[in-house]
Amino acid sequence: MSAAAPSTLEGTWALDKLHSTASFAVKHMVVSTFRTSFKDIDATFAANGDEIALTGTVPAESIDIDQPDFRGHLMSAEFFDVANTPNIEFRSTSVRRGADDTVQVDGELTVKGITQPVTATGTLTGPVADVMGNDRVGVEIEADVDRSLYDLNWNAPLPKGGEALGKKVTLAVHLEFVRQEA
Amino acid sequence: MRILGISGSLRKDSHNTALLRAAAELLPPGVELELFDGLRDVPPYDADEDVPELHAPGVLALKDAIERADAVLIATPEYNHSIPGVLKNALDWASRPVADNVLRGKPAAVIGASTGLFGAVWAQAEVRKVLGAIGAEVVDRELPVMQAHAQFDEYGNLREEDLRGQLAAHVTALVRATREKVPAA
Repeated sequence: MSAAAPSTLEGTWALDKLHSTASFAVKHMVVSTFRTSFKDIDATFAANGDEIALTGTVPAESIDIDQPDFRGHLMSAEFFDVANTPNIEFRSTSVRRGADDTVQVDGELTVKGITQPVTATGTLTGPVADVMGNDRVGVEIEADVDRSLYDLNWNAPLPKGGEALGKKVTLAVHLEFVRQEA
Repeated sequence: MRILGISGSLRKDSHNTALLRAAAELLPPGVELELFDGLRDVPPYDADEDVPELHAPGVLALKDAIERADAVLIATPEYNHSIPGVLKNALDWASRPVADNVLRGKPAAVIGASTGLFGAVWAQAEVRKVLGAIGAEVVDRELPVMQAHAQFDEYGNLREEDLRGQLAAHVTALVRATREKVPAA
C-alpha cells in the first residue's frame, strides 16, 4: 500500500471554529499580564498557486469577559466602541512560508475602524489528513501591536508609578482549517 | 493584639469584607481581627452634630471600635477611581477632633478588591492619603485584588496561593508596625 501523495494547500479551506482561538495579552499594573480571548471567530484560508490568503473577523462583543462593569468599559468608546465599530478584522497581504513550517503573515488589521499594517509570525502546518480523511491545516501566529495606533488610548497613572495598562498588546490566533469539497 | 477591620462596602456579599475575613485567617498567633459591622449606622457627617452630646450611636460605636483596637485594616472598594462615600464619611467622623482623634498615631493599612483589572489601587492610595492626613501611621503598601468575583472559593478562601502570600505579607507588615508602636500589643 503506497502512501498518498503529499497534499497541497491549493484550494479554499473552512475554519474549524471548535479548534480555533483568538486571544490577546496586555501588561497591566506594570508587571501583571491580562489575557483573554474572543468566543466567536471566523476566518478563511485560500491558496492559489503560491498565493496564500488569510482573513479573519472577530466581533469585539464576543470577548470572554462576563463581569458587567468590566465588560461595559471594554465595549464603550474608551475601548472597542462596539456600537460604531463592532468587528475586529484582519486581511493578509502576503503570506510567506519559511523552513520548518514557519510562516510570516503581513496584513492589515482593523480595530475600531482604523486599519494599520501588521506582521505576524508563527507556524503554518499541514495539510495532514485527520481520522475522517479530511485534510487539515493549522495556522498559529502572533503579532505585537501598539493599541494607541487604533485609538485604544485609555490609561491612568498608578499611585506608585507607571501606567495602569501597557501600550503593547500581543495578539495570538490558533486556527484550524478543513479543506472544503470542490 | 487586636486589629479592627473596616470594609468600605455595605454589600452583604462584599468582596472587600471577604478579603478582611481572608486576612483574619492569615494573622500571626496572638493577633485577632474584629470586623466592624456598623458602617451603615454612621450618619452623614454634620459639623452641627459633631459635639459629644449629639453624637449618634453609630458614630460612638465607630470611634469606640477604633479606640479599642491596636491597629486598623481597611478594605476599600473603588467607586469612580476613589473612596466609597460611606467609608470617607466614617473616616471624616473618626478624624474629629483633629488634635486627639481616635486614629491619630494608630497603625493602619489598606487593602482593596475590585471586579476590574486594577484592584481598587486608586481608592487604596486615596484611603492612605486620607488616613495620613488624619494622623494615622500608615503602612505604605498596597494590595490590589483584581477580578475579585473570581478570587474566592465557596468557603471564602482566596484561591491563589500567591495572593494569599501577598495578603499575609501585608498584614504582617501592619502587625510589625503595631509592635514597634505598642510593644505590649
